[in-house]
Amino acid sequence: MIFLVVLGFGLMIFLEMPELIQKKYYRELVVFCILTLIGLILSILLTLGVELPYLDPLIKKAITGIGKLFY
Amino acid sequence: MEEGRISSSQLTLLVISFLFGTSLLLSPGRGAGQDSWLATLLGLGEGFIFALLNLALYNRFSGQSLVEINELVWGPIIGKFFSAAFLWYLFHLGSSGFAIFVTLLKTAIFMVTPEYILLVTGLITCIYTCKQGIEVISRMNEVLLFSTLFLFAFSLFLMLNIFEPKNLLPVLDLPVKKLLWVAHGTATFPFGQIIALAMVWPFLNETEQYRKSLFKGLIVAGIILILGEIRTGAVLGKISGFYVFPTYEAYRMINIAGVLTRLELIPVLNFLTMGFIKASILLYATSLGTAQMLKLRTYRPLVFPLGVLMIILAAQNYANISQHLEFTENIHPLYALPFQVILPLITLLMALIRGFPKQEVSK
Repeated sequence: MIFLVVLGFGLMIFLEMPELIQKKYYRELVVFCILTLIGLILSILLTLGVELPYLDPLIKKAITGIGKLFY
Repeated sequence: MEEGRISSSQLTLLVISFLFGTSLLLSPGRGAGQDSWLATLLGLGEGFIFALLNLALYNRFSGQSLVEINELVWGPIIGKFFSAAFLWYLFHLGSSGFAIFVTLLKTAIFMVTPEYILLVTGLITCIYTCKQGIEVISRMNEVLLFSTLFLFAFSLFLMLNIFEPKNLLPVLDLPVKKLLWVAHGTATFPFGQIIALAMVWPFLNETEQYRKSLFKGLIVAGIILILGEIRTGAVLGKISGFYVFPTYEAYRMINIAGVLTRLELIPVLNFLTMGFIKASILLYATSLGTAQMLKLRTYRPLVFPLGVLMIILAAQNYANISQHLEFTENIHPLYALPFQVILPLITLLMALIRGFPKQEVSK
């Protein structure tokens, strides 16, 4: 599974990066690399079966917290 | 950054499909039972107020997207903060769309397929479309929207024999407070979400037409959604509130002389096409906004990593569908307000205080 994930990311990097380097778009390259790295780490964690926190309870907590300020 | 231009009628069609997106299936007025059509109507009214407010801001800065307006009004640092909040909303909205997509397919059609397979196949099409730019999205939308409208009209006729108008009675059989809450919910989902198109307005070739196209789109989509609610309510009656996807169940009841049965694939098709357009617009708007915020020269390299992050978030949004429904009904009406109303409103106030626009570009 991890092999497939890395292969997918590798393919995308292979398709995107040469054009950016050729055109000397270094700023874009940095942003692309940071976002891709975050995506890669998260997907590898998910394929390894690590349980990441769900987002919905966090938003609920934030909303109720803000609500309490007004009541 | 984006060379494509769209016409005003294409923008109208984009608004319609964007509003249809997930709401053709996950009916927005679900909480109000048989009065869901009334709630949708009230929500449309409130949605108009939201749209007017956003247009009041946009009128002052014709030809610029919301991210650029933020930067202009608030300066580089606070402006980036505002833009980041707005982009987070778009990003989260896109991931919710993907989450509904996968829930529907997993509960209804592909029971044992792993959800990542469904998400990745959906994502690849979206990434490809976004990389082609707004022109391709809007042209494809023309074809897909007309097929959706055709299937919708077709299904209205197929349901005539199971249509029971008395299922819609009694009208206003719920507390006014509850009705208003559900109406506010429909105003934020789907009508208020057109704020996402604030990233697309600048690419209109007739810049003065955006107001008209927006309102036309809102009215047409609102009427069709209300028709859909009336249809679902009249076919299913009081039990419609028990289902996760009432529209899907209503199509299941179609039975024309034992020949035309099991047509529940129609709403799934509608949802796949319109949800695909909605997800593409959101992914496009997020990538373009990020590129504008970080002052990049092209948004295209950002589409792939942002799309991957979007589907990872889609899987990590909600533990199950009941949490998702609770979020849509109880949390989203409050959660969406800052992004749809409050941030544009204070940006507008700040623009008024600072006397923008400096060069006269008003109508």
